[in-house]
Amino acid sequence: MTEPTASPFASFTESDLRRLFDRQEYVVEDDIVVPVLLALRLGRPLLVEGEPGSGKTELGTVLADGLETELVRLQCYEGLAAENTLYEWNYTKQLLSVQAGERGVTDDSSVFDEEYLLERPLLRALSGDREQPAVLLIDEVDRADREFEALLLEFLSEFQVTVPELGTIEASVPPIVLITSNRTRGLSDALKRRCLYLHLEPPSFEKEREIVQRKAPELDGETAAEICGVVQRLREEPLLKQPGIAETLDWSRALLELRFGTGAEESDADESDADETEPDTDTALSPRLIDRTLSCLLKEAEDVSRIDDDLLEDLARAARDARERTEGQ
Amino acid sequence: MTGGTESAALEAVRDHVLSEVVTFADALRAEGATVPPTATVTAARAVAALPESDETRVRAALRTTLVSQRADIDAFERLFPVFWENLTGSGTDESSAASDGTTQPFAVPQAGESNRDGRDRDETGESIDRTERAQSVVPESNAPADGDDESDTERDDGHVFRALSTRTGRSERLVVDDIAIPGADVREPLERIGRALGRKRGRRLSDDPAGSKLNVRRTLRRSFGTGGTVLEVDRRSYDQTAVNAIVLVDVSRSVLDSIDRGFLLGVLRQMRADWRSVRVFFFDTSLREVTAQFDEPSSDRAIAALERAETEWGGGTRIGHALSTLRTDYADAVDRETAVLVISDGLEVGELDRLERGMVWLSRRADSVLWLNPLAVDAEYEPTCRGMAVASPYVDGLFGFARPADLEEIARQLSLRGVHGRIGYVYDGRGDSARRPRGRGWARSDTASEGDER
Repeated sequence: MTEPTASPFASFTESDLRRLFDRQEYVVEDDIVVPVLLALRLGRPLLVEGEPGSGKTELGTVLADGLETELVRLQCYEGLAAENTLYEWNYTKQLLSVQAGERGVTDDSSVFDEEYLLERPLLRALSGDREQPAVLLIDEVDRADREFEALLLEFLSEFQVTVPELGTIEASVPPIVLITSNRTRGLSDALKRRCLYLHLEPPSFEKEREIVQRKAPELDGETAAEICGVVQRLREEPLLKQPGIAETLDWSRALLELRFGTGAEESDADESDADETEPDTDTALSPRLIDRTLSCLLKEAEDVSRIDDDLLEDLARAARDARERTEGQ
Repeated sequence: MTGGTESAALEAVRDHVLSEVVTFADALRAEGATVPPTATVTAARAVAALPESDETRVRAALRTTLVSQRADIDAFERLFPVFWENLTGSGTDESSAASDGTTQPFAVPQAGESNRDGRDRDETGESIDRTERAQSVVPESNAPADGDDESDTERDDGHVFRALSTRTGRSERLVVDDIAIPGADVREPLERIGRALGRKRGRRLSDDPAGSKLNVRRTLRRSFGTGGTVLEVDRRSYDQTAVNAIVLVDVSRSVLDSIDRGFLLGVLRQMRADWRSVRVFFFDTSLREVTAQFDEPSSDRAIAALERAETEWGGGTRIGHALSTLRTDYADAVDRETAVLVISDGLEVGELDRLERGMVWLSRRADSVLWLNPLAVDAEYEPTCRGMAVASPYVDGLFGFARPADLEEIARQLSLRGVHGRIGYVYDGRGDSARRPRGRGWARSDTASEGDER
């Protein structure tokens, strides 16, 4: 049994990682800190799965920013080919160079030189003299074909790319690899076996409230609690597309705009006309306001049509409960 | 405490943790979770890498390493408390205070009976017993390979049933413990396959009224009944059973993760031994002939010869490039009597045009082309990946190939229907045939007449 090669993060501690996330305003719990720490310390790729909008891509961005290193992102799609991920030759430049050589303008002996090489994300993550490893974010790998997974196996095993005309390019420091998947299809066992696994669950009420407060500090604590109360209640419904953290933040910003932005006056006037019987219409989320802004949370027509008056009342009640809980703390 | 005692105690704790992790993985598998074979090793490393080993962190570390899909998280969460209780309740210093000093049974809530039974039998056993039992539950089918650690290599009644893989995934020198395939498992189906593929005159004579050979003995014996007068002459001819074949073996990482190396080498060696003429080529990003290495008199020497030849495992997969090299550098290897066997998963990373040109040439030049695909053992497999989609119209049969039973199935189909009949994974009679996409089969004889192809 071989021991894994020493990781540059062998001495990286949990508190270092927590501080990093904290600096980047990224709210995490143990279920995220430990997998990321292990990925860093063991030098293994981390496969991050979760619903769209759960913060998978953000994790890569935060890590790169926090470690003050380059984020190399490879967005996967159907038909992604090796040349789109590894390298290509700059044919136009090569052609011009050859033509120039024929006219005696240049005496370059070869057009297969690094000068003519176009680095694509996988090669870019390896090249360069870095002290800190780059963060390689392979986003939505489930969109790519199985052939790409096979290519990825080779890459993740060795962290080197062979360019026949130039030789082998090896990473001086292996990149930190994050692979995200929306689970639209199953990944191969071989790929999963090489990765540590992290499934991002929808956040708890407390965690979501903290995220909202950090990302939208203009919102007061009670409003943030209301927003999270509604979203948590909404997630209990059998929706086709559950609102993720991204949707919660969108909604928070939309409410902020409605309450304090240009449309605030008009909105509040409408509110008071329509919901005369509602308590605290100037502060609490009313069914009408929720209904008007649902498009920030729900992205499927079937889900929107599921929201009837009763459910809107439930959502408003959940908001009031959350506000009261927060005020009581 | 002296240094020696301390070291022994640490070792005992380590063994206990390892043992419990393996047992936990075993229990997860019994619950239907997909736990990769190497996951236990990774899990142990993860636990060792944790700065503090409290329950929350250990739970997160094990979930990260033992779970590889969302569907298994529930089972993990249900079983983890039992694991934690066993881990902290016995085997460590704390455990010495336990009432009976034995490991707690892994009495999993709602776990399968077999797991409970198995655990009860192991209750008083040593940790190594549990380790062995845990390994024995790895499914026999196309089980995932050990990507990092060859120590997970295991056998069931002497059969290698899980792929050995490289530790780092890079191209590396060939390493195989041994070629330990029981001869009978592969010899008999290979003989039948050979007879079906054979286009050259064999050594065996069989009755043939139009044959050129006279069966003197039988003719004379029959003449005794007519007073020595020969009324009918018995004739014989040589069977067309001698095989002239080439085998193109994809030794890229994705294939080696799906098929056992020992099994693969054992089959190749047996082909080389039993068939009239077989040339073996390995390819990944380049093609190289390794026929001579399989002629060594023993398995060990064959492996040593492959090592001496610096045969490597695991590069990329450029089938089109390999076929192109075969065409230019080894053109004499393929003629109208040659059966071509391609062992590959078809996950081409090279140019598809080149692959198609190579397959057209191969199908025209050779007598038959069979594609043995380790991924096709899956009941839901369809050749939809781009490489396989390009290649499949030009092959006579696409079969699953990962274990001896697959050879049996290939032999059965070839014996029944011949190499140009309706053969392939879609006609695999094993298991739940309803799961096979029969209506979408692609065997060449289904899609085009033989005349069109040649």
